[in-house]
Amino acid sequence: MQDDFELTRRQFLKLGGDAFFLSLVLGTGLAPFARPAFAGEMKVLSDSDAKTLLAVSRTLFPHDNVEDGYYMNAVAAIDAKCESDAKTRDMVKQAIGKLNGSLGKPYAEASEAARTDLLKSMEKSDFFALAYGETLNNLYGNPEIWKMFGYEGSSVEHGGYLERGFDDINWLPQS
Amino acid sequence: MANFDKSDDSVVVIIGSGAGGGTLGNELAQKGVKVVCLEAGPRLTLADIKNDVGEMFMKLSWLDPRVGAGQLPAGLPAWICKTVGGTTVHWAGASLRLQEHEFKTLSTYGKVAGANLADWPISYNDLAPYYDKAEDKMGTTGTGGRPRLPGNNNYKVLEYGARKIGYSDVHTGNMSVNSADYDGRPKCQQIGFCMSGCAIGAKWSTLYTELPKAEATGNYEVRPDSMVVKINHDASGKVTGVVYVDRDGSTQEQKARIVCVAGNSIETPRLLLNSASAKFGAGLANSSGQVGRNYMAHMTGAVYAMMPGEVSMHRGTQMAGIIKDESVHKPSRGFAGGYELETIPAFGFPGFPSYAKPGGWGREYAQDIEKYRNGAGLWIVGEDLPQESNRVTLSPTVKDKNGMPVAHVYYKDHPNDTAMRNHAFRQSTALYEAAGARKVYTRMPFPSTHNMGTCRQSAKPGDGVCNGFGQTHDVKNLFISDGSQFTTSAAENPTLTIVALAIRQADYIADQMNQRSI
Repeated sequence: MQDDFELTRRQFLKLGGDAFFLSLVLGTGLAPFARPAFAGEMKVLSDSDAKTLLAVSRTLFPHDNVEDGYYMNAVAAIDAKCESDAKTRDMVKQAIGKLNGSLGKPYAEASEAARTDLLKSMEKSDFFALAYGETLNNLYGNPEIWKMFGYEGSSVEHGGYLERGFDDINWLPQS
Repeated sequence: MANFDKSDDSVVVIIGSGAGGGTLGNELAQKGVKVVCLEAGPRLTLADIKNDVGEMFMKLSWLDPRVGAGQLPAGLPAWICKTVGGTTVHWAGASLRLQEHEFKTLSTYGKVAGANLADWPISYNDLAPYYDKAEDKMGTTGTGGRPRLPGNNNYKVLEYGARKIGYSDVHTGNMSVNSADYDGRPKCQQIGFCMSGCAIGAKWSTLYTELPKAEATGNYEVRPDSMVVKINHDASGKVTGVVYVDRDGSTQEQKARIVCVAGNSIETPRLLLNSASAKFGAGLANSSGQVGRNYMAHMTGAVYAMMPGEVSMHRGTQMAGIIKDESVHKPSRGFAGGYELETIPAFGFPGFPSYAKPGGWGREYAQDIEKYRNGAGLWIVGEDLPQESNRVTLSPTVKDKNGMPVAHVYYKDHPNDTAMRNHAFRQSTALYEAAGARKVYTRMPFPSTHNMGTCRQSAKPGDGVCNGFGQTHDVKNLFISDGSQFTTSAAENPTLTIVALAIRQADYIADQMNQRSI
């Protein structure tokens, strides 16, 4: 099963499936587990690299009230890919070089507008696809984040929503 | 449960156990006909069904290689299932009858450039009694005296906006999701994961209705994990059995008196094409050249709106909400045919950030994601026109693990589809804005769950693959038993019609067997 999953994931990445399904496939095995904010160490990337990638993730989906650790799960996932695949590592390292070499200061220290513009210019790159996919799935695949933003996850063990507000809308004018 | 010998050539072999194959098998078994159902996927139980979108997608979906082309995602041209029960495990339950004029599109719409329109060889009246039977079988709400489901928050937003912009045919639909206990299955608990499989069996699926009922007759055997690779025939051109690969990877042959193909509209034509022989060089039942052609997927799209208050659209029956006002044929709108608007959630997280605006990012989008609670959603489903070039063929390069060429699926919108979608996007945006939406996202189709038309019914053998009973024009003991039969797609979700056709086909097959005609 694990082999099948890996094959499917590679196939999706290669063939560029709809983001909808990409997220489903990438999210498998991640989604059911609430992970605390990441506080470990990088395996192959430097602390400075991690800081840059963190800034990329935060630029993609800036939520001011979400602490860095939740984004660092995405950075750690990119790091893990870099550890298992030299080509990915070279690609990521090169992108980090470009991010830090284009704005006259480290990417992480640039303004949000400058970070956004630079990332926008890289939207078609493999690096962007990797950072985007891992951020979507590691940030939004985390049930701690679901809670924060109001997605309630599995409901069958609570008897569904029949007695728990499936029709509790209170702001619509009476028609 | 029966256990038939592989050399038993008195059985009816049905390929696939979904809406078409599962229903047909039970109907035949109830009449005393011996049935062997070969299903490519594994057999799950309700205990295997979890409230987890990603996990269930991986468990249920057909992920064997296929090649998408045209405007389809290359790696996953369609979202259909490989499991006992087929796509009835995944479907949302919307059960709508086709309208009378939708059986006569060529007569009603006239010739449309680029479209291969045709009238069905059957009329609404031919199918009406079978629609009654299908609705009773499935416990469809709003029919047969069964109450409709209560509306969830997402429905209430839809209904409010709909009435504000002048729609009147708005309700919680005809759903094969129990509004009260029915047929030994419980009423809907508003769990909110219909399309990941209903964990309590409130939604009709052949997995836990037709199949166990068929097995109880002693006339029915389903073999899961059995992938049919070829249909065999004799010198006279009659089919004699099928070759399949079982769960151990061994190749088997099951003999048959009759073969019924119900593999959904991609695998069904693929199997006929892969069964080409010296006698049938272009593929089985393909003297018309229409096998694989006229592939239809419905004109679809989705709309997500950011409302001024909380909706929590993941709560409750996913598709119990419909607007039918636009489903009529009204050429003054600038297109032929019509469409339905139906409630749909965003499939949770990471679903909502992934699909509200595919590829979206940045601060403004992140702020909408933070307001997920306020999101409401609908799905557009309308008639797409058959085009000969929208087509399932065999891939010249990609083979599956059994060495068989996989399906290459090509699809592009007809200009009529595009005009209809743009109209639906405008109407949906107006609807949500009338209910106070702060922002509305429109998105192009998800990989199709509605697949139709690749072995279509036709009055004349040259125009299609099978007759009004699904019997192939070329081979009288070979039947098409799924949505591949559809001559045109109509605007409605196809499952109810697939089930009605299967019940009607069972009557016909049993009758023909009694008469020794097949």
